[in-house]
Amino acid sequence: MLQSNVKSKTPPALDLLRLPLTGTFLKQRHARTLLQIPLFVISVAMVFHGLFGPQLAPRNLATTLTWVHFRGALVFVLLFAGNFFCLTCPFMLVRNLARKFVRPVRNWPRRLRNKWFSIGLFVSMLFVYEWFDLWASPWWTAWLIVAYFAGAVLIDSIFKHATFCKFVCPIGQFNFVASTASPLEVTVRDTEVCTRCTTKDCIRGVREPAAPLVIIQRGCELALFQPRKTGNVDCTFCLDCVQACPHDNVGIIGRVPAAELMNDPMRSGIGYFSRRKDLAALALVFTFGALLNAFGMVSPVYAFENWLANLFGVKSEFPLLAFIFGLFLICEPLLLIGVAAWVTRIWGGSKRPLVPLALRYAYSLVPVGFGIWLAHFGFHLLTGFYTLIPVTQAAFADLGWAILGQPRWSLPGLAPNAVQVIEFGFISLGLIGSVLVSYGIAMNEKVERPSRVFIPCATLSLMVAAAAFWLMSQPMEMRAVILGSG
Amino acid sequence: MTDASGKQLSGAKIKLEANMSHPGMVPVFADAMEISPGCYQSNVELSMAGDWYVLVHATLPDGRKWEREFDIKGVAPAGQ
Repeated sequence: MLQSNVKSKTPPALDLLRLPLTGTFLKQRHARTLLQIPLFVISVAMVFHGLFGPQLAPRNLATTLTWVHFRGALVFVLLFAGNFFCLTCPFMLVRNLARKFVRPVRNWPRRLRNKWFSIGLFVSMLFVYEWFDLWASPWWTAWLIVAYFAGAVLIDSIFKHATFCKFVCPIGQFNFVASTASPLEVTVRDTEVCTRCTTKDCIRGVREPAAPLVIIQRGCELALFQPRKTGNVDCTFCLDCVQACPHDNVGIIGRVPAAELMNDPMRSGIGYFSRRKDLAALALVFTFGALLNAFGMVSPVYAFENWLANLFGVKSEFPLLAFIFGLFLICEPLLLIGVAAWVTRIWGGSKRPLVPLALRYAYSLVPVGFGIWLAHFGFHLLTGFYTLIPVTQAAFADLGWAILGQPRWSLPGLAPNAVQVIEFGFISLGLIGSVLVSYGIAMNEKVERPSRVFIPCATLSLMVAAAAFWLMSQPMEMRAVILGSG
Repeated sequence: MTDASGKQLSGAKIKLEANMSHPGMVPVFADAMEISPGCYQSNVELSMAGDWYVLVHATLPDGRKWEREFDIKGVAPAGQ
């Protein structure tokens, strides 16, 4: 069986930190800051343009970069590399600057040390996106970016460690789940080196020899102890552990994508997947949220909403959206994963209680969910990639500084028909991943007939993929107003 | 097109630019032809269902420029 955390003396096939240019750069002490600064400058430009620029979404940097380029680039980087957005996160640049002036003294409340709060924020993000038509509003998009900056600074000025990243940030949670299907992982090169290590700087941080309470290089702020860290969940690729390790024993190492979902070892900072209801719920919201978010962009959603409006005699969008979100993000996932786990239990003759079994198999849906996000965000990026050029040209021209020339609005991206093939490819890839993960879980559960036991959850993945295929083949209908507007 | 006094405006050059409300979609451009004094017509092929807005860029005969925006909500998919 594939193991995601093989750490031996054999040099890994790929270690990004051992590559000539990339490795040399990323191991620099200020590499992260250097990567964050350009994104911070772009963020400031987006906020400025969103608040004071043209309020036409396709002509504004805030909406174009956020909803077309950032989301698309994010999922592609997760697919081909890992959680490098968190590495380059501009919110953390400002937060780190703020921490030079404010020392947090409080710990995040124990009751909130889980993913429930961030799941709520993630769902709220999806809800607000539909309710306020964020994609069509530069002003609201700019305020959303400001809210992220403010949230990161406020939370991490009050609470110690990386509270915002681990327990609050909705983008971070998305990245943590999606990066389980990434091909790179920050992990130790040789566990024996860790066994001999006495200082544990990767978690404690490097201390001033003369003053042990003074930290000169912080260790992992997300409580991931490298020798026992498995997989990418909760890892922001901040590389603090790389900087802190006195033995140069931490790398960014190649691995089999999604293989970490098959195993259920005790994970540092996380525990067992099968005991984390919050993490399993995050995986389900990630997967079914992908379907719901794509559903909001196609024609049938408007017919469905109008039908619901007539059924309930409702004229307001809020209760309708709340009903749809409850149906698709709570009722449907719980029902489907419950039935799949129940059938799995019967077919496998397992004595294991239903809930842990459902929790265990919930993670198998992550690859297909990631495939749907890729298909959706990839569509916008690939069809609208070049719109960045005229929007930037126009932004400079609006400032009376047309150094980039007149906007070339007619620059085309890839044709939607061509992109549809790529979309189907991503969903198919995700489906294959989910089926393999289901089988891997069944194998690791040591049931008698894994080839039979994995079928219910594989069928669930197939149903999710079929829904995604149907959605992606529907006519796109990007509307900002519903309920009889047409 | 009329001026402030209601007099028809002939000889204007009018270009139309149609955009979707979602960013990232390539805009559609078209020129408007004057079919009678002050009356201009254009065919714009809206390539996707959804919400569109149209920017009207006009250059008047005396060189002055004029711009207006109007919305076309809820364009239905082709064939509906």
